[in-house]
Amino acid sequence: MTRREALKKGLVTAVGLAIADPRCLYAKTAPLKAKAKSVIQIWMWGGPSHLDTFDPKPEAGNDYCGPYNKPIETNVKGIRICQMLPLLAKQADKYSIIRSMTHGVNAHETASYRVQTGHEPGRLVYPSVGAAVSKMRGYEHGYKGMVPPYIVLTQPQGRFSEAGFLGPRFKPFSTGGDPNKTPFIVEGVVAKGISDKRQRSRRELLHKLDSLGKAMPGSEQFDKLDKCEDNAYDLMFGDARKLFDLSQETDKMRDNYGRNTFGQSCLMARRLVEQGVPYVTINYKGWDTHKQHFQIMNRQLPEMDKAMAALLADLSGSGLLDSTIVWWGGEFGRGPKIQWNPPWNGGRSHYGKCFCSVVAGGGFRGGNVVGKSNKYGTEVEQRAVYPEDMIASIYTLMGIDPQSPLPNPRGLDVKIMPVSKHGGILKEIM
Amino acid sequence: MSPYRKAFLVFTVSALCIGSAWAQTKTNEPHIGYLYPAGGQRGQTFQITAGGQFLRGPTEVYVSGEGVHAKVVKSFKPAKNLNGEERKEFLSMLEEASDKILGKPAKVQKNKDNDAKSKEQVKLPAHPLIQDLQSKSLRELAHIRSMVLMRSSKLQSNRQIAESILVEVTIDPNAEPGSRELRIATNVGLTNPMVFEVGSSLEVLELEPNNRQAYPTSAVIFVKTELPEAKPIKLPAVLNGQIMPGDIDRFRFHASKGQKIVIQAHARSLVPYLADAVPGWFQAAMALYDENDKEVAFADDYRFNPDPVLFFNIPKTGEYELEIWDSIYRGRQDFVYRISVGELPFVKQVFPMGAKAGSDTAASIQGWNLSNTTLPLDTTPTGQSVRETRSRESKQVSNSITYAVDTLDETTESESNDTALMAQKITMPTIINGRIDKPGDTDIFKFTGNAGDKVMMEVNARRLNSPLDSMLRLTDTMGETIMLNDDYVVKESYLYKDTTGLVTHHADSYMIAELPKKGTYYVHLTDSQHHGGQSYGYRLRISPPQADFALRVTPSSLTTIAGAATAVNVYVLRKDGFEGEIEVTLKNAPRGFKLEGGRIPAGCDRARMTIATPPKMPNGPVALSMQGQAIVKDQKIIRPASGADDVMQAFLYRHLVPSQQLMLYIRKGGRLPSLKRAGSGPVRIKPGESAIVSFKTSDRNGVGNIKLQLDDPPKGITLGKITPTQTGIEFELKAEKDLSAKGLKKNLIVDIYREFTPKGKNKTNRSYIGVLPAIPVEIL
Repeated sequence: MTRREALKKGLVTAVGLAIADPRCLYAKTAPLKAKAKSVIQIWMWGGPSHLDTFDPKPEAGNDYCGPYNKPIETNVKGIRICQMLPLLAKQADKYSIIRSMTHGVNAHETASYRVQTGHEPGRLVYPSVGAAVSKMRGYEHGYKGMVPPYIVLTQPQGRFSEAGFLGPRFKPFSTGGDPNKTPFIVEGVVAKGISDKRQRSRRELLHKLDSLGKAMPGSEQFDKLDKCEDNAYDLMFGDARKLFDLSQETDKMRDNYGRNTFGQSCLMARRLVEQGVPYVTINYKGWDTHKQHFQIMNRQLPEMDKAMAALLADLSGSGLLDSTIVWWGGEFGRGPKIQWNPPWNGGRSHYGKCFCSVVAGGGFRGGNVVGKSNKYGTEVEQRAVYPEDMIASIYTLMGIDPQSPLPNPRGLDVKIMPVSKHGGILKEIM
Repeated sequence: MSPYRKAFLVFTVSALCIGSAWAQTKTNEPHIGYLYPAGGQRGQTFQITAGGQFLRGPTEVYVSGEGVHAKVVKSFKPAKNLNGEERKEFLSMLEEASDKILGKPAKVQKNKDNDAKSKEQVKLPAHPLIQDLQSKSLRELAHIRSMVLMRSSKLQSNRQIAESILVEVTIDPNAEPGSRELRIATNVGLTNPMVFEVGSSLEVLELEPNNRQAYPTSAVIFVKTELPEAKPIKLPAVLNGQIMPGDIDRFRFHASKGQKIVIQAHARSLVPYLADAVPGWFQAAMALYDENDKEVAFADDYRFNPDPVLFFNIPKTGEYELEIWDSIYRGRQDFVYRISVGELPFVKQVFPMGAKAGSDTAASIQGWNLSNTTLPLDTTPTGQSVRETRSRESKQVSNSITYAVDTLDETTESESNDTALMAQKITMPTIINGRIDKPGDTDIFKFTGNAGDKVMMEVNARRLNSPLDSMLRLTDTMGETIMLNDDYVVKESYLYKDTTGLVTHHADSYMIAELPKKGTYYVHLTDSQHHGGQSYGYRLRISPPQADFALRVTPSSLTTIAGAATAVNVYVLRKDGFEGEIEVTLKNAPRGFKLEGGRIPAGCDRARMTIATPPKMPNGPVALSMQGQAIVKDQKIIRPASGADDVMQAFLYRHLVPSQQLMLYIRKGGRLPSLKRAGSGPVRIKPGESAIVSFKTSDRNGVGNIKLQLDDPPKGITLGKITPTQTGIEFELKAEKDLSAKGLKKNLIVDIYREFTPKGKNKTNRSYIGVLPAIPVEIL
């Protein structure tokens, strides 16, 4: 390099430094190294009680902890969780608990949007984390998996548009069906009551009736349609179908996860990330417990405990946990003070001021607690973590710069995540 | 042993005058979720069912206003599904009753004789519907079967309305028609109020099955049974029913050509909010069918109100069927409705929608079946700023009309004032009575002001039942917008502090502007949805700030024992920037009643206070009046503190729903000697320090083994050691060292309770007795 060239380059760099947003510059000059390849999001639909899961408060008294007044020690000294989660207690070294999640919103729709996008509601409808990962780690970035890059087990949210302004192309593929049933009827892949033979004969009949296609051989449009059809049939009869076939797992493995929809969904999620699917959401319903809270918890917590503990053990055992983030949480927590009065008669309300999330793997260190709630679980006492902090942490571990620009229909200069006004990403466990 | 300790031991073993019968737990307060039917006809005696929870031991029923008398007939535990044997027995009773009507031989009796032993063992649980079956008609028997044997999969468990009380109501012939409040006193306390309507027309109760036809020709009672022909309902009438899950109810009536029939549903107005349903009320929909079963009219709301109203000109004499259902087919016992049907007076337009206090004002009214064209407004200076009236026609009264009474001078809008050039000139302060009389209309008013002047602009329309969804804009002479407002909501988190308590779309505009320079300004008022019409009335206030406030007291049903105090919440709705201190007092209260902690500090929007009762007060209800006074610009203003209930809508939102009365009920079962705090003025505490609070009583033994706890104290304030003294009791209040609430002024509420262990159980239960008189606290 000549002196003239060096000066020129130096000048360009200086100009660049002067005009560019420092964060963008960082993104361009020092691409983040991805530790995580996939995310399994366990979406606790309806908002799980933080006091009755990972932030027990036995000292707060019966009006707060109800019958769950004997939390259990985990395999990490000093970390206690709800007595209803004994199997997860043995896996605590693999996950970290964030006990200071907050956003203050108590309405399902807005809170779901906050937690799943990291953005405040505004004039632009932002995509969920899954859709953004699908954009940044999907087909446009070399993903060649046999199934779409963003899978939802089994029902879509409905609380908000997952794809946001990215559009329908980035909507999740919702499997439908029930993985605990045989066969697992996956929307568009495994059809109920239609044998393979019948499906193939249908295709043949369709081809026989396709007089226009036959009359126009070599048409580019028809070639594209044929390609789409081939892809669809690959899903139905190829490896993708095998992927959704849980009978290929041993009975013991299936039993480990629990023979129920959530348990088998966790197993399905493990199979999907094994195949490189970057984002899998398990929409786990039944946590909006305004009434009969403890009766429902007595039924659901053992199911959750078994499946999630099996998932963590399984991912860890196969080494996949190193590259897979498991993210557990809902749109908010539940009211710390039990509503004994009618019409609730022992229920818990929505509570967005203070709740908890759990993260494991993919670069998140296990065996830690981030933040602290107060004695009653009503307020964050230390290290408030907002949804944008959590999501930015996940993006960072996936090698996605949270400050990357995100194309949008209005052509605005928007970033995947807003700059945190709070504590920022979870460096303490990354 | 110290004398104090000895005294304390004496207290704990002494026979208390506080009995367990009146021990009240905070969470087990009696509660009513519905009344069915939720009203009745004048001059009639009939039975209604009140469904709720914690209704054990009902003693008396109180109905607001004059001329309605009610008493408890019987109370029922939650009605469970009948088991196999009970079901068999119930069907056997139905068969017996229906056979008797049909004149069939008593074959059931034969079975009875053959199986007398097992028969004796089956005793049906008490159920409000399974009574006196032998006196019922076939259609009534079919209804009872339908309700009692409703498929359990259809019914959710709803403990909050599972208990019931049968109440007998008698309405005097000359009782004033309209809405009343009904409360029930139990051993534990007084329930919340429920709406009870007094009407003038025949009352009709629905009879299932009536989903597809009002009067099917057959129904299953024991077996499928032919039913006698039923005559259509003679109008006017009030139709009563309950919508169960997936339920549709039909009624048949006769109408003659040319009749102008008004069909007004009352559903949301009876139970304004459901905490555990979305949307948070029974959203009724109605359709009318002609003789060919062709739908001729439909409504699922009336303007912005959820309760629908149908207006129908009868084109042909004949029979018509009316259908009602929940718009999303939910249902429950508390989905109660009343439908007024007939040539009923209904006011659709009223103008003006208010008047100046003390003025002689008659509003013009228009609507259906009205003989009156004007309606005098009561503008007595004392009283509420928002009032209700009805047009009294020859045999009926109209729907309720809401209007405002204010103190400012008033003026009337004069068209055309749609452009700045034609703007109507006004002089502040004033209230303009106007109308957005056609879609797209804009009313423009101009005034002059000086730089720095503060001008308030407030629309009062939606709160007075106008369909107007106002939009206000302030411009200067160049047409530049200085300020704009669409909707104005006063809320605290999810608590909406709207004074009506029932409006969920807060469509009225409100803004305050500081004028940038001397000159002429224009206020533009339009409908934000570009609607308009003669009913789109408004009252627009343009004035300098009129510092003012309104007060709401919750709950509207209070319970205590003689001598004890009870706590109330007082919410302040501050207006036009008023931040001053307010002193709340009882008005015309019985001797010995005392309100403590009545000072609401400047800037504070909510305070808790206590109302103490005298030890010798007899049991029963007392209607209370409260008021607040404040000094505004050296003038004393006094405003009533109205009763209200903090009611939840759809799991989240809360509203202060006004009540007609603020009732305090003195329960039976015991007395507490008066407890008076030693000293006066607030208790002052520094962070890291503590203060001793003493209460004196003339009857030390009477306060026995009571225990104390703080009720929702400021963060960092805790209760320390509690010590009996020779004159009463004292306790320590502690303030944490790192207390952040410096400068806080708040009333401290201290619960009085006692603990007991039920026989044969290890668990200790807690019973709440009342509260100590409120203790004002200041954090230094």
